[in-house]
Amino acid sequence: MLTLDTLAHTYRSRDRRRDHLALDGVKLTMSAGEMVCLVGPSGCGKTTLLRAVAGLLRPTGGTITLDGQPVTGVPDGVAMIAQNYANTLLPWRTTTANIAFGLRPQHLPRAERRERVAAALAAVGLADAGHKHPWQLSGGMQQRVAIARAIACRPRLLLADEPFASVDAQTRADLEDLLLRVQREHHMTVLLVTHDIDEAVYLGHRVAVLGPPPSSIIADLPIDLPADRDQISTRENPQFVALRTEVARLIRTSGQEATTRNAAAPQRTGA
Amino acid sequence: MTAAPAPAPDTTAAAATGPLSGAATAVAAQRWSRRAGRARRATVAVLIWVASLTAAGAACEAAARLAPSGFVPPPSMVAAWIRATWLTGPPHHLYLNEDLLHHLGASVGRMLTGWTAAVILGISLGILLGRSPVARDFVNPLVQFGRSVPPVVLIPVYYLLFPDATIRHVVLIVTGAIWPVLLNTITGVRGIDPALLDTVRVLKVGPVRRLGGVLLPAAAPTILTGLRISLAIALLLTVVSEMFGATEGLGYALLDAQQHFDTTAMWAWIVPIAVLGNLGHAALNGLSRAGLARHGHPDPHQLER
Repeated sequence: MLTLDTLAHTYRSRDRRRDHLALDGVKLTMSAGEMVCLVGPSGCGKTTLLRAVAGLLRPTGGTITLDGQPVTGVPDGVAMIAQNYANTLLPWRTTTANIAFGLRPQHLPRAERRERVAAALAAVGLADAGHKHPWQLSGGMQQRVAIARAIACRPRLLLADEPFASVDAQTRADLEDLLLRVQREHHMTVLLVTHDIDEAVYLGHRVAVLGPPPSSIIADLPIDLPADRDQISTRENPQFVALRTEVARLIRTSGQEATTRNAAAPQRTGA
Repeated sequence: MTAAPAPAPDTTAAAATGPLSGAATAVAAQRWSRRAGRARRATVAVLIWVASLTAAGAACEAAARLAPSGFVPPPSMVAAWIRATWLTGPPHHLYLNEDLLHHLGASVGRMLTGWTAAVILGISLGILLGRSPVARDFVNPLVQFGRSVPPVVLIPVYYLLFPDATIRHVVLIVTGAIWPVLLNTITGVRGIDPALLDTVRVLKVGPVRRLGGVLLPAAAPTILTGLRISLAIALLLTVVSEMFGATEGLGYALLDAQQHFDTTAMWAWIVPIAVLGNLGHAALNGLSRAGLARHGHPDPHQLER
């Protein structure tokens, strides 16, 4: 349903020699109902890729196709969960009103809108917090509101940019399981960006590894773990350990290759 | 917003093994004591305010009586003048006389017209400049230059450009009052997290709702601070402008009294100007606090007063 073909993006600077080639030749295909986790070292263009898919950024090369339609602007039926979730909620609106805000552009009947908001709140375990304002909630609860807002839209594609990077470990585990459950229940297609290898292997049906810039996908691993994942038993499964080791090694070797390459040609610039 | 009907904390829920009304009474009592505490603090604040003003008045009274001067009458004399001259109107004019209402009305009208125009222009332009880096690069030098010019230096210029007195006053007010609104709107809009704007765009929120439902409310606390500063500037420029080539208004009346050596009246005309300034400040302060409370500011009452 989503295809990235030789996607490339260069950040132009005023000084042409400082142009930064962030992505180069990214190829990725996702089918409906799939959860793909994108990992890579910091600064490898993960967020650039996600913003391109969301139509927020026009890539300088390659094509993105969503359900057969080329992505040229923000496509319909896409939702996004950001890392700094606290800043993406509207503090002057209640939790309910925040979730409903995302539904208004869809022109649904009022009853359907109300029902969807209630269902989304229940799905993230915040049925009682609808009347509260975001700043009356804890960080983990705020991120759940952001997730609820995304799922209330019933998106065909959910994009998540390091969604759990700024919550504590326990909350993070809870939210990971929440996302897994919601993804399965709604049969959602999810593209999740993370720098956490364990998280990627734990959540993904597939893990795509981005190399250092100019980045392309250097590995695309199917995760053949049982569909029912558990924070403790899945993580001690030898297959899980083997997979996370493989991903970690891929990231490290690609990083080392890039370092030697750059050391050999220090004047090398992106474009 | 601390008085929001928060659900009873876990401890209360655990303690509610007895009759339910017991826990409910405890919560109600807690809320009552919090409200009572706030009322007490407000009363103390008002008492301090009154005491401070009374002390200052008494000091002036004593100084004016101990060292009499024709230019500085004791406050009691000014108060007597106000009562005898201004508080002679009919009840439906709040007992204020025709003369005071005439000048007050002229000044308030100009001030509010100029200030409103400055606010509308400042916010529209500010949103534009806040959202567009290119426009900002081009306009910023002009903004920096414009706001550095003290607006009063334009009085002689405007005297030639705008023969109509009312237009002249209003244009001067707009020229001076627009800057804090403009600069604060730019700051407020630029301070919005890009992730919020991305999220809103992905949700396909249209441009009108993006402006009214996201940009303006998100920048509102910063914009309100600008409005407060610009209202003070608007009053200042109203009074100063009315001292040149005007035939009505508080500034004109004040200067007219001085030129007729009516020093008591001169001092008296300062009173409505001060009241006007205080009322405007209090109104916008209240608005600012309400805005901050909506944004979950921890304690909007800590604002500078």
